[in-house]
Amino acid sequence: MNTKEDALLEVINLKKYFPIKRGLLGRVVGYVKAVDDVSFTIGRNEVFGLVGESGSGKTTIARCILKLYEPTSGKIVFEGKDITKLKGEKLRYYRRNVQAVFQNPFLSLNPRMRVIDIIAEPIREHMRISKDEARKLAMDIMSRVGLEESLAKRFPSDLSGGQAQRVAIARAIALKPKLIVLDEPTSALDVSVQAQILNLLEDLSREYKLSYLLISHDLSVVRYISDRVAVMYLGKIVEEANTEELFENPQHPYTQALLSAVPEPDPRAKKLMRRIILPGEPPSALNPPPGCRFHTRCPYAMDICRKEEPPLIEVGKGHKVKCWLLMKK
Amino acid sequence: MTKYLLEVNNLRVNYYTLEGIVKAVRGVSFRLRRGESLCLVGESGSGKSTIGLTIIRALPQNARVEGNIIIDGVDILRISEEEMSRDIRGKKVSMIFQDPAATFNPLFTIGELMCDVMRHHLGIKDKVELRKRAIEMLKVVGLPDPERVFNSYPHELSGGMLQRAAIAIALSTNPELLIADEPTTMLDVTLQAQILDLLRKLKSKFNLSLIFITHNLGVAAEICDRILVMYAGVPFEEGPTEVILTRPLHPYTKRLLECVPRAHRRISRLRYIPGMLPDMKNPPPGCPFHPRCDECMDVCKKSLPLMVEVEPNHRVACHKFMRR
Repeated sequence: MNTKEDALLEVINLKKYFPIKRGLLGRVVGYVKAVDDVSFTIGRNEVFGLVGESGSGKTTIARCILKLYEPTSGKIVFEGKDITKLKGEKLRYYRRNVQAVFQNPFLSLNPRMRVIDIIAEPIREHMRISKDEARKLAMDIMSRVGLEESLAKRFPSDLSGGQAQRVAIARAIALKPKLIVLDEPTSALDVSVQAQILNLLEDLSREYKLSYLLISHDLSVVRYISDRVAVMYLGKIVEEANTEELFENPQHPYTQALLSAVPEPDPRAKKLMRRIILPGEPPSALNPPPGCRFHTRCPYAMDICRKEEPPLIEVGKGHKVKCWLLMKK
Repeated sequence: MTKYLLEVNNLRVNYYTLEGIVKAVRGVSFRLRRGESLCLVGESGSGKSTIGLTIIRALPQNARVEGNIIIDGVDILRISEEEMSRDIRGKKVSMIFQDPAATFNPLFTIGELMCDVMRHHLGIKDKVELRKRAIEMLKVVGLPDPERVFNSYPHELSGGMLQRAAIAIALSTNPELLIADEPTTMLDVTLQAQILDLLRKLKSKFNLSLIFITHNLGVAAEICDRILVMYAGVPFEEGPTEVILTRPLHPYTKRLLECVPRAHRRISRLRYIPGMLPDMKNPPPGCPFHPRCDECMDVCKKSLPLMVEVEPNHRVACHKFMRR
């Protein structure tokens, strides 16, 4: 799956540093290294999950891909073209093909627009067709995402959380994009509604051959819909593998701890689990520890971990781990 | 000493709003022994948080409460606010909340707040003694460098540390019952695991009774002896944690368990519950779950099912179990 021809989006050595300014003159006194040298590839029709806790940099990556942030360095390549330099018609093409769904639909939908117009507007803008035609297309999409026709004239404030998220999804798929960035798409929803949205997202990706970049702190959601998963810690990817491989055979101590920390409702499954409770909290990205960034909380930290950053080591097919423990002696 | 620390009998809570009456809790009863933990599990609007606030009598002004809440033999719905504040709140019952940052006054240090709480509830006046107790408690909840935390303002601590500090304050007055309303929902999973571990340890250390409010069935499985599942203000099923999670009887509990994605198991296709949560100002007649239930019968549309004991310690409110 990971050959160059199959790559839809490549993120290459991406860095995003936020300067910290102090004093009247706005002197730069340091940098928050939110994303620090991250590379990954999303294939066509692939669901790529990016997990990590708060402050790990996953949303910053999403924002760089959406061109909401300018990367400090590195490249983001979409269908072979570096997106940081896109202008004019090529930029419009990129915008049309890369859409986004955010966590809180009530903040991402214009409260003063009717549902039908929220969905029709990007169609009209990008396809250059009349308002009525765009609305007709929007109605079809509404029924595809499970929104009743009667909701077309409503405003977002009249909708439930699940309905509003369906509108956001409808707007994202309206232009038949190639990639949708899903930033915590179900975190604000109740569980019974979350399952509906996850299944909808899965069906849509199959039907329209969509790729997703799914960003989430919820490992169970990531496991359910991702084909491949990368785990982030303090601005770096520490492990990447196919979903089943990552969840069944995690190699990085952080991934292992993260997985074991997810509460399991099934008491029978729980008895088989080994609990690793990590001490302390993630250090600040303003002043990350030297060497491996996880060494301050790692139960297996060795001398070298405190001094040198581990390389990304391939331990199996498509399974990469950034940890000294896996370096063959 | 009565057998039960807490008895809630037929509790009903209505909120009077300009748009109508919200029936937040519709006839909930349960009992809690000393040292026992009960989880209130439900989605938005299930009434779980309202029950917590009713037990410490911190409901907003527009709420009307019926029923009994008996703590250690005293019906707290029949006593004055003065008695409540003097004898119950803090002394018998404390509560922690989802957002620890919102529970602290940003203008006071953690230490000032703790000392204030202990002065009020325990009547200790000696400043040295107060400080000693506060720092001891901060140590108990596992805060590194308790002296520094004592002198810190809330904004100087991270979310996980603040939640620990909130637990320290809640327990500083030696309550017998702790109500925890989604205390780990805003925390990352590794911190959530720490806080759950801490609550488990404190519970056995102080023989605390615990009411834990959550929407997360996994979290419920971690911490509680028993689970009470609620939906739209109505209790649906109650029983030992293991029973509820492995062989639930109520259709809602069954479906809810099936629609949770799992990190520890591969699921090829999630089942889901069709439709959406009911509008609490205008809940459906009969059983509130009937429009979404795949086992719905005629009677479900007309009357609200009552809790019946299906087997010892396992109660279910569903018409399927009410015949005979």
